[in-house]
Amino acid sequence: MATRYSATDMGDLPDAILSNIFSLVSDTRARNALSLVCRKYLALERATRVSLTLRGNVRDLYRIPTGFRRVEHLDLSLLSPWGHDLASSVHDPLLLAHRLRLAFPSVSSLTVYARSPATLQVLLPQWPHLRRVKLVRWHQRPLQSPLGADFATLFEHCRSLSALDLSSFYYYTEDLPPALQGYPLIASSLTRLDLLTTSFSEGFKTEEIRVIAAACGNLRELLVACTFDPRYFGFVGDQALLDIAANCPKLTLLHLVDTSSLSNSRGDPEDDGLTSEDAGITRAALVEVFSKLSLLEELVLDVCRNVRESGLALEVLSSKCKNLRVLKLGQFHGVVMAIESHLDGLALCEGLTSLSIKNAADLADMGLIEIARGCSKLRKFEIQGCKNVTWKGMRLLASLLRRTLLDVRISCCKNLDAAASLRAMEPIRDRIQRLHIDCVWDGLEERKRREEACPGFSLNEVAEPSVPSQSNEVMHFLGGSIDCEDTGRNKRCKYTLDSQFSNAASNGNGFLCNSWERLQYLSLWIGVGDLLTPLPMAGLEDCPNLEEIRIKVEGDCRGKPKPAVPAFGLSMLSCYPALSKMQLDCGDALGYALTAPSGQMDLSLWERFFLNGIGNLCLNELDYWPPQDRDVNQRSLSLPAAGLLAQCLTLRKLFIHGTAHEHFMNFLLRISNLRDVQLREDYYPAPENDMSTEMRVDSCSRFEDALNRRYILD
Amino acid sequence: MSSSSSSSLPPCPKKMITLKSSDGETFQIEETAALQSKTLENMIDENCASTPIPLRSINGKILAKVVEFCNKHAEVGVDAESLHAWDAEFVNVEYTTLFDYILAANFLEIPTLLDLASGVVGDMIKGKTPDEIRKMFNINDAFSPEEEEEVRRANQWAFE
Repeated sequence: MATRYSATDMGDLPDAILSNIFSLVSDTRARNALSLVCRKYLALERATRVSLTLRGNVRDLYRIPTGFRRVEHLDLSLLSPWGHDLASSVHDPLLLAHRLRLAFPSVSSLTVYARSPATLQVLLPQWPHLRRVKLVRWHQRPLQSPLGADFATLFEHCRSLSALDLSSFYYYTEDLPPALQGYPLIASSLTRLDLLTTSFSEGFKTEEIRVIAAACGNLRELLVACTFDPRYFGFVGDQALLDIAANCPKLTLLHLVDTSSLSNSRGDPEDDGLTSEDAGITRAALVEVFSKLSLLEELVLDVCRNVRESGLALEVLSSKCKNLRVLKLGQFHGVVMAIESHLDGLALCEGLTSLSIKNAADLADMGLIEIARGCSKLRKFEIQGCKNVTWKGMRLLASLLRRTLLDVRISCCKNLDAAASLRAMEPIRDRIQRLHIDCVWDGLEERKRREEACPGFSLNEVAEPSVPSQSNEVMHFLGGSIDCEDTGRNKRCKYTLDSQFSNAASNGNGFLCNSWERLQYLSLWIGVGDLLTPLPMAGLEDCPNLEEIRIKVEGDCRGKPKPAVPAFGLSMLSCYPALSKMQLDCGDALGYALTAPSGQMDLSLWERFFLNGIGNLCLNELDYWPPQDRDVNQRSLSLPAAGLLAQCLTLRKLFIHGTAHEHFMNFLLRISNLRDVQLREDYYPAPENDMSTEMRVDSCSRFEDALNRRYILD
Repeated sequence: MSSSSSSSLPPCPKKMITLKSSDGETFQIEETAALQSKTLENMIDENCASTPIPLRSINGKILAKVVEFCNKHAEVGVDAESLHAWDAEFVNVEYTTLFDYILAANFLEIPTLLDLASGVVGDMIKGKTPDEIRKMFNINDAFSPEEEEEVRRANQWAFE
């Protein structure tokens, strides 16, 4: 301290710089802390706060503070009571809207839960210069409201609209095209349109896409959910693609996603990747589209129906769209030929930084390696449903991309179970930051038993019984490429071999480079009834910086026998010291909410199984999706679950994506530092009326009052 | 911005200019590297750079680092990844030194360095309580309890 007597401190910085520093702080909690430091900081913090997600109860909005005058992006969609119409929740909605305008005069971007057009009618006139709007509605579209009523209200009041996000808004596809036609000026000034609406069953039809593309000629970014299945009326094929390309030449981002891929359930790894129908997309059309859309930077074609021999079209893509950085292809076959060391097809897209390949039936290790050699700047790589890819190919890809690759997702690949996926990631183990794997433990237990039987062996040796032959195969893979590559490539290949060998060596010794040094985010898929506990044994033992984990549990609990152990294994996660955020998604675990047939467990017991041990973790944030009973459309927190959640004494934020009883919620008040709790029914269809036993508006408000009455440290 | 202005210049290699710190040290810097600083660029444009340029607000220790930063960022053929790593190492210093970087970058108008160092200060704030921030930055002017309560209540309106 004494040596710093003349050191510069924060007080020496001019306000302009301080304000610049503050504007770089986006974390709300840090901002709240800054505002409490001193008067000057309060003024600077408020002057640089441009984004606010409003919390609290609608009925208290009359007391809204007027300090946040610089807020440009205002999110009203999470106000309590969640999912209720702003217009019908208060006595005088117009006055409320007026108060909001006075408190937030600079808003240009608005997110709002619009259960009926009435809410928009009240709110939108307050900010006539809105440029970006996101509408949210998980509840069903009101049946009686006329076609396009929501959008007509929106366009009527927002004459300067340039971006519209409908990804979480429940509406009919028929609602939008006429509204766009009715307001041609607004339609033609739109630059971003997000129509990846999760509630669609079929998505936009060819004719509707034609109307949208014709009306919105200046779009830079377009995202559309549609169906590519030729058995459906109005399916998307060549014509829709050509319409988009002809009408919207300025597109830099285009997503066309089949609705069947929007539901996030896992495919069948045994599937050979070929669907019974081919998509109505020809190579000629793709070539024309890529030639016209030469500004593309991001392209997602998640077709879910076969697009065969796509290599040539992808070569055109690489030559025409020089700025392409992000690419996702679903059900594209023949993306590369993988003949000798010749680069072709997808491997020519050398500028890509993010690539996702889904259900490419003929993609095997050699193809993967060709892609890794061609697309040498990849930071993110995702592979899904590729039956022929093995850990050897993935491992070579990882070593070839070792300098850039930071984010890998491996899912639903038959040959890549948890242990294989983790072994494949060894070359980048010290660098990778985000990872997804499937928790498929095939044979892991057995190997463990063998290991225990002969304690002299390390797990890795047992798990990799063929290390020498593996290295030979590695050489074989690379042999072809070394032969006819220039010297620059040669160096890389040599380097690859080196790293292969050093890794093999370190595995043998079992202590070198075993840490996932920079892994921050881990995402896991796991089938119902499987346990989480083998995770460290499969290779994820040492993750000193793992902060956030997402666990998705999927499957049918009905008919599953009672698990042999009482807990799914969450307490095992306490071996990751930095873990503070968790998303536990059991929403796709199905079971009996009420009485289960004899010999089976109902959902409350399954919930106890899943959550058991969660109190041992030092979690700060938890998002929890309770398992559901589809027959009665119920996703409800059970008594054991509430009790177990209440044991997470370090929680500050808890979001339950389902419903709960008021007296169960009151358990949570025991958590002394809990600041934000919300029940969000953000799934389709959100229950229309939670009556009688579930959380109603009153009970929800009572709980929140009790919660907010407590003093929470900042 | 800097790259376009430097590439538009005729290729006259190794044209050096001299900078003089507040404590009298002098530093040689290539003109192409110096062009990242708007302030220096203006002086070069006005032909004031033929004699050593005195920088009275920057001491030798800091100026040496700033020159190092400009040289690194003027290097050609450095890939983004390794430059990023280098930057991270560069700003891995005491925060008082960071403030000196910020002041120097502000004076010399080097936006890359200004944003880099400001971002680090922003990151340091994250996860700290108001008390810790006050201590860290030597701030004594606190709120009265009533005022503090009011700010606290206003903050409650934001989801974290």
